[in-house]
Amino acid sequence: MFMSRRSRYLLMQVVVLAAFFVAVVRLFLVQIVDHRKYVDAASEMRVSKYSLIAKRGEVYMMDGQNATTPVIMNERTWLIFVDPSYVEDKDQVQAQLTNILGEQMITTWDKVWRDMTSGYVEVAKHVNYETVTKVKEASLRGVGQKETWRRVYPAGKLGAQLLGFINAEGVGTGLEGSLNDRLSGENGMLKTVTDVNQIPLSIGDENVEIPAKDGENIVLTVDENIQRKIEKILKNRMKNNSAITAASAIVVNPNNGKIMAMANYPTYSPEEYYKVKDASLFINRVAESPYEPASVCKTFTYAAAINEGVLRPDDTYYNKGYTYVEDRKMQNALTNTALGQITFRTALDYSFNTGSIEALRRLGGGSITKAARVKLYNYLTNNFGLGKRTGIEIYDAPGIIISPEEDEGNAVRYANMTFGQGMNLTMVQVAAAFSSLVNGGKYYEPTIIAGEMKKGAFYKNDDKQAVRRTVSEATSAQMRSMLEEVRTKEVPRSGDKVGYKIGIKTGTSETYDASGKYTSDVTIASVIGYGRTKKSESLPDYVVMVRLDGNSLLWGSLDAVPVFTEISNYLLEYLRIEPVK
Amino acid sequence: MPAYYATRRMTGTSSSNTWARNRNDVRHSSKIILGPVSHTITIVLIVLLTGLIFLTQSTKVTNYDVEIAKVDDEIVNLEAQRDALAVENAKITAAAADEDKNQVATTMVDANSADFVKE
Repeated sequence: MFMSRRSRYLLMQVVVLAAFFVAVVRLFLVQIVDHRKYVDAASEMRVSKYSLIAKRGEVYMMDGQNATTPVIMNERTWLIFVDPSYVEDKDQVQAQLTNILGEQMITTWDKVWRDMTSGYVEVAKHVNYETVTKVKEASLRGVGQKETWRRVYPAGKLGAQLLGFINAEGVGTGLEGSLNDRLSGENGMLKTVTDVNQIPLSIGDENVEIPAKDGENIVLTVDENIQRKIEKILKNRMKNNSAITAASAIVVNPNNGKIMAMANYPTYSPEEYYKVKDASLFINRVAESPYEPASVCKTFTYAAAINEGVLRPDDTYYNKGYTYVEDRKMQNALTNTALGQITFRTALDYSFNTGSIEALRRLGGGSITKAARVKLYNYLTNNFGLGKRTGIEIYDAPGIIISPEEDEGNAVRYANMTFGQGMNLTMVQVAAAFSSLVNGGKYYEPTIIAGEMKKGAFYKNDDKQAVRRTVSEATSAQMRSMLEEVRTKEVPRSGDKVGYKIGIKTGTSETYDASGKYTSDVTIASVIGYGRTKKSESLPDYVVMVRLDGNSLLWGSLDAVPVFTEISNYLLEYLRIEPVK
Repeated sequence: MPAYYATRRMTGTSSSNTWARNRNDVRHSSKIILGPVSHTITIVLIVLLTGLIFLTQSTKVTNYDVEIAKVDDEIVNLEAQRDALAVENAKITAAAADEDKNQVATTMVDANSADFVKE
């Protein structure tokens, strides 16, 4: 039974070799086969990854010619969280955090302690620097803080619909939404070896830092002072006239397309957007809400006819107070005024529908032919850019203009379109087109961005160039003379400052009733106009458009014009436009 | 002649050993001879010293990192205070503007001086 010495020796050799073989195999598995797995595990233990949050760009408005003022800023805030699995003394954490956070707590302690294995419970959001410092100084085990940002609107409600807000899901309205790509920037990343206190260490060769790219700080063309003044004017007007349910206004520099103001009332506070119950308050009605601007559009019809050489302002036609288009009787608002042979100037002064329909007829050689409709359609859409997006950097609705190629684009519709019915346009479209009508015929895409703020310095964008010609300089000059006559004859100009030339056109839009038919009981009052010095060769310095929505009958001339006059007089002073004898 | 060196030439036994002609003629040998224990202790000491140097240097780097982290924290805190002040400043400026007291509004010249103009 006893093994010989030699056998025992051999057995021992085999056992040792086998053990050695097992060790080698194990080492092979660990070091070769599972190499990556163990490297990753080790890396996970000592390497941490952090997201470097890009700072969202701020937004500024102009404050005069060169100064700027912030209207959307970022406030550094902190999120306070509790990790129950790390908490040693619940009572101490609860007592101290309750004392520090107070009303800022967004949850109850019952919910925090409900699951002690839970790793992360948010207890307060957007706490300020002082509060987070107190939390840090308390040195509570299981309590942490994370840096966050909050949008702040230092000017409160100013330009609310224009600026908009960005909600918790990152969906924005106004500029916050339309310029989100430029404002948001790109987050960076920090991958680094850390110690037990999560302090990044510079040892090791696995550290990677990709810096965050902050969003652009955008400067708007909107002037804070004009914007503020116009919002006040709209607010006061609504306060004094209960029939007005909503008021909007836009101011454009007709010589470069820069928007100087874009106001809506009633309004809201973007910082507290979540308190708003009526979502229609979020809509920037100037750009996002198309409507029938009514007689304001007569200017485009006359401009097309004058530019085509088929009509001159002093040409005449016979005004019966009404006219028939196919089987439809279309009449003037003032049916018994200035009957007989009158000039087109007079027709525009009294805003006669018969005059603009006659202009369309003259485009067709005497009747509303398809050629006439095509000409008007081309002017409205291709030249004036109506019924389509303008290219402005904010959300804007395209609106609708029916083509003469469609069945609905018949003579009756086009007769209606000559005085601004049967098509939906935004105020931005109309203001941009009207600007080209009075600035010598150059169409500038409206723009809201003046430049960028970098390290506290304002870098202005170059002025945009005109993208096309809408009408000739001669036509533009004739239109100015007609519009200035409207101001002096049809509307009392007692409110205008002396020494300037003011041109306007009003519009009173019927709305649809419950049955889908036009009603004159509820209307939208509009006015568009400009101001310039009295020098004959001078071009307008501003274009103002006002829209008042009512719950009863509002008139462009009676209700909207006083708003225009107040804005216009302010601009004459603010822009320091020189009066001329 | 001292016993602890010898000329190599003298060690040659063959006339063909001319290969040693240009070599050092003198070989020094130490009087102190280290044994295996001394060798081991020396090597261990060298290893320990190297380790100590490594530890002190790497700890020094880590200490710098901790200091950097503190400075970074301070920068964040100061930036937070600066941002809060900037926001507060903007709010106050806006409130002043609302009262028509901002810089541009106060320096505006009233254009009513054009009253002399007659049409």
